[in-house]
Amino acid sequence: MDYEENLEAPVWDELNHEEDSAQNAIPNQSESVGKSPALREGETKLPKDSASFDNGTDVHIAPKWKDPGLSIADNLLVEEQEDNDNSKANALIDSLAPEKDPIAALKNDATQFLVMKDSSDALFAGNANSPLVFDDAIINGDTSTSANSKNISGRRSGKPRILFDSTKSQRNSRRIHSLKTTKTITSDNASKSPFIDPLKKAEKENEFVEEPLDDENENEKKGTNEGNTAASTKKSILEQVDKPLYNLPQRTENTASPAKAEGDSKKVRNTKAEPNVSFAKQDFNVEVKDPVKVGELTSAHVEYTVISESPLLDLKYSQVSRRYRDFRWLYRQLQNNHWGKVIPPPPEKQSVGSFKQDFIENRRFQMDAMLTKICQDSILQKDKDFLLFLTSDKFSSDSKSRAYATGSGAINDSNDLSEIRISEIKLLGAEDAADVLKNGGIDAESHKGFMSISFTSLPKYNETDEFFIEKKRKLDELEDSLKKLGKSLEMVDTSRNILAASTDEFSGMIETLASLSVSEPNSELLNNFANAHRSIKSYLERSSLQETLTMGVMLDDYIRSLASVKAIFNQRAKLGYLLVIIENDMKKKHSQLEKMGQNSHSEKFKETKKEFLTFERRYNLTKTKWQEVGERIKDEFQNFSIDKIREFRNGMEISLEAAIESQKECIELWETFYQTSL
Amino acid sequence: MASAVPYDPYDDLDNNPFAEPQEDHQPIAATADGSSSMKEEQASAEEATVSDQATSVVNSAQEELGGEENSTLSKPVTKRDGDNPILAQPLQRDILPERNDEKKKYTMLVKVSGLERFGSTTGKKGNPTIVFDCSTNLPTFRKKQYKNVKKSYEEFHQLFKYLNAAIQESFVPTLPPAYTSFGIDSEEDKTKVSRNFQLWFNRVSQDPLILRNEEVAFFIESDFGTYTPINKYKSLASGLRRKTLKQLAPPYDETTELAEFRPLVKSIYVVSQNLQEKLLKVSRNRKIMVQEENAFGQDFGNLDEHNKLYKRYGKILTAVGDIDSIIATMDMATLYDGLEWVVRDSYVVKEALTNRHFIMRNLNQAQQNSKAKQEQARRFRSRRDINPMKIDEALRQLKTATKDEQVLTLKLQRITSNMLIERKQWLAWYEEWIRNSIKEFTLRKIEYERKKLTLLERVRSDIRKADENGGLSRLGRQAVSANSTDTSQTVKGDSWTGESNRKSQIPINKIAHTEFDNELFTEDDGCASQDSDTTSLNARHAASLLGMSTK
Repeated sequence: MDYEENLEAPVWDELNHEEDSAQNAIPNQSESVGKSPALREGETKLPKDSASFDNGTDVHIAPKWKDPGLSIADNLLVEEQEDNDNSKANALIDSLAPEKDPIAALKNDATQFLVMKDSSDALFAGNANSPLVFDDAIINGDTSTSANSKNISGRRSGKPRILFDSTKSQRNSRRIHSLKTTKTITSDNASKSPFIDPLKKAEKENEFVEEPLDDENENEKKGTNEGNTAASTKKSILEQVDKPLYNLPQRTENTASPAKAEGDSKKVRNTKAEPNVSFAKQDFNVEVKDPVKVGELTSAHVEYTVISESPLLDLKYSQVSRRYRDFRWLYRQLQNNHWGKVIPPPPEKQSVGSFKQDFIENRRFQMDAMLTKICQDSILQKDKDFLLFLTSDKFSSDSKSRAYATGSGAINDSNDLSEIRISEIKLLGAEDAADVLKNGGIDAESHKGFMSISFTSLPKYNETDEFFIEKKRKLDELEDSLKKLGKSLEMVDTSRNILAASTDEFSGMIETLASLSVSEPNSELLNNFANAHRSIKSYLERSSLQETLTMGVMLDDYIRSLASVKAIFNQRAKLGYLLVIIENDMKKKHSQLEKMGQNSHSEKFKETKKEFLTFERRYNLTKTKWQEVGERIKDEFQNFSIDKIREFRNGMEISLEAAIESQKECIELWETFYQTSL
Repeated sequence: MASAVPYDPYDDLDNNPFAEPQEDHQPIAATADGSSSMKEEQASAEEATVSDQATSVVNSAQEELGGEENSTLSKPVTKRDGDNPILAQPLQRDILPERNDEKKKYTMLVKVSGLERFGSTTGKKGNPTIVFDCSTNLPTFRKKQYKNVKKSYEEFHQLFKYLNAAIQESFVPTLPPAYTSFGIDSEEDKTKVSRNFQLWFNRVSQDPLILRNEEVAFFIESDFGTYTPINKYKSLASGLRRKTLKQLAPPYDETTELAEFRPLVKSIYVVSQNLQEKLLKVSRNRKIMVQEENAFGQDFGNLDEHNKLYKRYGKILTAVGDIDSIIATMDMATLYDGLEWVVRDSYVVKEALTNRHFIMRNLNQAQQNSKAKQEQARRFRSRRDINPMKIDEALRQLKTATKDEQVLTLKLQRITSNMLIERKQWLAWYEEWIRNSIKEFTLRKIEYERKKLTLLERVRSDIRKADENGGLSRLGRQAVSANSTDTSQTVKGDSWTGESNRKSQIPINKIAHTEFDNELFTEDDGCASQDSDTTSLNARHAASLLGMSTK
């Protein structure tokens, strides 16, 4: 139990985060009572913020919550933690939260916490600020504890970043459990918020139990091992720095529109209102399961059930049946809709052998991972096509029409994930694009030529920014080494399995020797020996499986993600190329215009001028887009690298730990054999 | 009518029903000499034809018997008269006088002191020289002590071949393999081969029949590289004849133990060979896996040139692979080589038992032959026409046949009773040997698996340090010690089991320091230094303590 880390108490000002107070609500360490003033400050925010806050009600609820273990002082520690990270965000809250009588604040604190715990958001639904966040915090605490501290509530964005301590969570769980029962009741009572339907809240609360697991699952899938609860992204100073900034817009949003949902961090619970908060990440769970073979002979394929739950969906819940082709469509659409963003990759295409059980399972797993990552991303989760994918009943027609509408080339795409298609429709707008397409595409000119030999040299796109060249090169190198690594891992796996098989044979032969019954002790010894070897065989198989599931899966994921990253680089390259072409055309038109300069009223002139303007417009559009994409890529790349490295390191650690454990098992086996039989 | 049969001095025993057993109270040494002279006789007799040989063998056997009988007579007569009702013992004493050796205690003590390898490459491997000391009180030897006797493997082999053929009553222990799977350059190989030869000598010294054979003496007394058996031996059947005879059903064997023994030995032989095969396969596959593991570790390290963590991890993986390869070698060296001796020995035992069958077959034939000759002789009796030549002929043949039969009968009796004893011994040896091989196998395995664990744990702390908040921190990693030298195998016993066997520090050190430490940890000094065994008092320690206190 390490409380020390929580004791770096910042100055009490900083404690006045709603978030912090919310976190504080999570009963944790029992420490410094001396911090109470600070606490009070923090707590005061709560009541002030909520317009409809009724102390009275809170007070009644408070007693329910009086959990022996809880001490107000506990919250301090939580606060402190929060404070460390969210100093900037606090400033905002400070301004919003009026001062109040400290004691009342304290009292309220208790009740607040209680309320938050019990009745979730009802009371504070109207509150733009901390209450909601508190809820998150509490819920975070709840869920994390109920998840038995195996998750790090992956504070991604702006979530109070408690270095999640299992000890804390264990203590929490005690309290939370007792509180949970009261929750639904109080939520009914606490229908303070005109915005939120308490029943819905109850629903949401019921989801509590699931979510941590899902979160866990999501994390897992994001990470490496399916069976492993270790989730992926951890904090880094980088993220922590990011968070406060991130929180600000959320808060603004929240303050601005009380009706809007909170939205914050990964573990946003009790989502409310519309999903129009652009930065806010909504609660989202997606699962892919139940592969079923559908159709026969030539049209046989496997369909998977995709179940999703989220307030972003109209019905909050959706269950559809999708096949691999659809996932691929989704990937291409997303790539098209969000240039420069790294889209989580789908599994590879496979023309033969796609009906083997292992293959199907593998694929299902990868697709589940893909969807989970998408729905975790605050931008992608709101994508129209994504939502369409999750909900549409007549998907085949919908998908086709979307594909045509956006010109994404999502139908029948190439197997290489990094090959991209720049949609003219997206780039230039529908009408212009239609024109362009009539002419055969933006680069139509360059393709003209006698028998496709062009006489004019094609304009070449030279990447100006060093960044891209450098990174692209590194990407390629990395991809090569990873692929190599993946292959050797596979080889190790195969050879280990072969070893297991021959060990089995060996074991059988020992038993034959034992059956000769030369003597009683001899036979017994030999039989034990044979059994030891059998166990070794299964140990080998298991360890091989474990390696594949951890490192193997992670490497595979990494490699496919790299392809996605290459795709965005390609997008930029392609845009640049088109830009150059358009620039070229534009210049040509311009010079044409110049030549006709004098004749400003002729039809020809007007036409040329019109054309020039079109080109100019195209040029500008393309240029902006190109630059945008460039910027985007830089950001994305940064995040991607950090994420991936973290995942990789985690994979290594998990793999290593598993290897150590299985090694211990092996030793134990032999020791036991030695002691019993020799 | 006087028989025209020439006087056969060796026939006395046959003819004279009143003959008293010869009471020659010869001195012990004389007896011994007698046996050696008999051996010489035997040797010379081997030049003669089969029948002569049979005769001389039977004579020498009888004389030996007589001699031995006399020697046993020197013991209190009461014993001879046999207080034990069991017929077997006196019978054994008569039949196997060599085993009846309580008083004389002919022993030979051999201590192997070393092993040398020199010469050509094949010679080095297949023909090592064993150096040993020998002390004995056998009369066949000229001296009592022999120091630093050097003998090459080839000479041993010659001796073995001779003994195997000459002493049909015993299971002569086979020579251990000349090299082990450790590789002839390693220290372990030297110790193992020496030890095996020591065991061989021990087994040989246990067998009184082998000890008394003069070839053993010749072997030890001869100069290095010059030994070849002086006596010649005659094998019962060999090559094609043997193979064909083996095809026939074995003759009826009234000793059930031995009857069952042969198939048992044969199965042991076959199964052990199969087991060896499987083991070989396992080791090979393991070596292949090692190569892949090494490649993986290598590639991992190459992932990022500047990343120390990856490099370290990659190196560890490679080192783990190397340990696996050592394990594979150890497997072979312990179990495979152990099984090798079992295979060889069981083969020899099987063949000895086959020889016994041949003798039984021969005995049957001899019995039939003598019956036939008796029949013939009887027929003559009832004939009116008596042709003295023919009668003489018939009588002679009858005598020969009977003698043959007797010889063979005696021989068979000797063989059977000796084999019964040796069978038990051999089974005991087999059990013990298998047990030891498996024990070695397991010990080595445990040792190296533990080393693997140490290696893995070493790198664990590095990985954890790379990201304090990541990975398994959710699992309360903070609670785990940050001490990078924490291992799970400590002096107090393994951390993951409930048992605590307090081990001394030395085996811990042995495990904690692998052969690869230098390669792995040159970059940094993560290596713990070799701790002295603080649990036991050692002289240096004590001395320093004393030294300090007197200051």
